[in-house]
Amino acid sequence: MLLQLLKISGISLYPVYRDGDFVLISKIPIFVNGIHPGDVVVFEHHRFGKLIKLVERLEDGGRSLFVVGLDAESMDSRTFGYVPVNRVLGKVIWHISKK
Amino acid sequence: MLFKVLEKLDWVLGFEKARAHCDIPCGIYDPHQAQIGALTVIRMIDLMTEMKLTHAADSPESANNMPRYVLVKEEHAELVKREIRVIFGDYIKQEQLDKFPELPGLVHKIMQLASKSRQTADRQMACDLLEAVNRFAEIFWATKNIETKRVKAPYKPSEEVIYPVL
Repeated sequence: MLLQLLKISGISLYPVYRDGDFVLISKIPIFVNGIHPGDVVVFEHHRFGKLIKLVERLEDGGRSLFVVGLDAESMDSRTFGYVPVNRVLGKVIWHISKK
Repeated sequence: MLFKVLEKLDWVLGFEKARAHCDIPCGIYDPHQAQIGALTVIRMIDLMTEMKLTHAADSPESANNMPRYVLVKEEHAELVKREIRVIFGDYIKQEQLDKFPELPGLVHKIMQLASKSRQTADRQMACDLLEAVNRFAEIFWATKNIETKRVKAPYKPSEEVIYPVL
């Protein structure tokens, strides 16, 4: 899917992304420009389902992402390791916040 | 404005969710409950042994209390596993694994000893479980730069436990 609207559930990206905010994600910017540190991406995790996290760095020649949340208790690459780039469903291109 | 429109659409359509997955950030971690769990397992084995010595197996006392002891032993061995799993999975990060490389092996040992403590009434096994949990507690407090002391629990089964020096 080239564009997808998703609702955020959870607080690991608080205070930038809040529980209940909406994001529009797309794969197009990934095809055009790749993924870079600082991007916020949505990916499919085999255990936790669709997760949204901040890309901290790329490893393995750009094939793996180290993703983090902004909250100290975030479940992210510090807990479950690297995320293969082919699991990424899209990059956030529009953030629609309550505020 | 747009947010409100989307919120209403979400009511009707139910957009798929992207989880900003996070544990509730209470930050309260303490191996104490796991230690209490291990002590309880030992205590239940002691009570089972005592019951066997003082009452006939087919006595009403024995029939009533044995299942209760076994049930509590089961629950507390499981409590040990749950408490250690939560601290290991949620609190321990790579930095701590680098500093204490024995941790994964120790956690695996605790899981196995806790399971064995459910399957058997072997006191030594339960004491080994307590010792492994004590070592876990020692490491846990060390990650917070908090000193520990080894003291005898002030209640039966009076085995030694690691406490933080606060």
